[in-house]
Amino acid sequence: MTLKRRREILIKLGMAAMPALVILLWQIGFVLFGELILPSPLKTFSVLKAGLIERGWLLSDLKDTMIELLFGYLFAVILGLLVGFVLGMNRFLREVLEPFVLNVYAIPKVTLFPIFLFAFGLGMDSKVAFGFFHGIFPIIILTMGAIKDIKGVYIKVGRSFRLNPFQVYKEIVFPSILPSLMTGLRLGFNLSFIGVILGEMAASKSGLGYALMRSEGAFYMEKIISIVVVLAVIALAVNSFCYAIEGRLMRVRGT
Amino acid sequence: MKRTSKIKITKWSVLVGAAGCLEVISRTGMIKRSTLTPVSDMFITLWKLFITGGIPVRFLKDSSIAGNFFITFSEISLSFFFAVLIGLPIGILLWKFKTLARILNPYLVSYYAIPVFALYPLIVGFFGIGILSITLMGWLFAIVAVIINTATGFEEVDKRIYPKVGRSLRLSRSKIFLWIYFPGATPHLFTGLKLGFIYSIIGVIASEFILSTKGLGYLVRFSYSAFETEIMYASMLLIVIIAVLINGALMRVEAWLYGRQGR
Repeated sequence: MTLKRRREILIKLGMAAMPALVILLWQIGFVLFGELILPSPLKTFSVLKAGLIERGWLLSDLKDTMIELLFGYLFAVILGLLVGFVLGMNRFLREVLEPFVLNVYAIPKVTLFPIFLFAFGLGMDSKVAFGFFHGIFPIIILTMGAIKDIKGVYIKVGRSFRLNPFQVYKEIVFPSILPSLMTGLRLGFNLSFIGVILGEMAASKSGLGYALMRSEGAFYMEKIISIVVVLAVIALAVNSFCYAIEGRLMRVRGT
Repeated sequence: MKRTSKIKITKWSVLVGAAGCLEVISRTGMIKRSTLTPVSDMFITLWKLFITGGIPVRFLKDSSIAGNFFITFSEISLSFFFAVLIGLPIGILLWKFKTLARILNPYLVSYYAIPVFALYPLIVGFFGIGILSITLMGWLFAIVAVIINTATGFEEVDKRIYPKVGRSLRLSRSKIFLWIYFPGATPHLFTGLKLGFIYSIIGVIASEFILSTKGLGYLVRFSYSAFETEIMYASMLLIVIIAVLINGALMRVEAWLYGRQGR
């Protein structure tokens, strides 16, 4: 038992040490390559701090990105759940449309971004649409799969209890698809986020992706790394929140 | 009519119908031709580009379609090759050393949550615009999928019976790995390779689109900014066709591999 506990402690320590390791490697890189190519962690963090608090160079771009992400993701969730639900219920439609949905995954979607620019212009609308376009597919796929996989027996049990259709949804369908639904919503968020950032990097007037490209042009490495850190922190925060909910749902189900 | 053929027919009519709608919208002028070229023209332009071998756009550094295709293809192959070369051994390492796997697990599973693409400007800062940066980006996209699926693949091989069979046949440890674990993990390994290859394609073409001077992704970008809408749609079509064909082929092989194991 003690051996097992010591191993658990080692694992926890290892997990915690990983970010420190990254920063250490970063510092070594700074010493090797010099300020111009790789700025030091310390200087980068002071630039990041200035961006978030003192000078606020990051804040307006951050705000625009978050607005685009919020709307793009919201539309993706609403439409994705709807389409996924319909495809999950109707086997014929599902088998017809599934290959289209699956193939969109494999296409480098950025190359289609000019179409969004034509339709929605250079402003924030095109990023909202692009975030939506990225995020909707995992939501469709996981909702569809979850509904398809509900065991027929459960529904039969519901019928034998004389539940009305509304109750069947509330008591049986919804609880059994909830875990996959959460996974779909999480993956949808990740892809919407990527879509928005890619759109901003490709052609934009504001946003963190645009700030990345602007800093690249100015060779301002501290700013680039700061933005990467901000993006990573947002993504990780949302994901660990989702993982916590998913884990809880799994425990409630007892699986 | 048989169900499968009915589905097949509907599938194709959906595709053709959608293309037809776009064709009509563009031909009747509901959307201007400078915004949306008719679908038939996309194919014709693409065909012309292939026949003449060149892209009639001024100021384009490398205007041959074969040249751009070759560059994109080499970047994808290189990034995929190194993703497998480095990803497979790391995956096996994680399977062998469970503690290490547990430590790295949270970082590996959240890797694709981070917009990894944001690193591209940083990489360009280090290595400049060119094949090296783009290949590195494709590699960054692909490698974690290979690592994760390799580790899962070996993990899922039956640990109770298969190794015992190997030992009772007095196979050496390396032979047990080569003849029992490796074939057992093959479907998962292939899933890793499939995802790795597709991520390589996405990473490479996206990088070309965002910031580069050559390649298929750049072709779309360049013709967009040069207002060459026809060429832009033709090169988009080419990219979509390539991606869908490769994805389809890989999915077939994958289904065959899983089916063969009787799962």
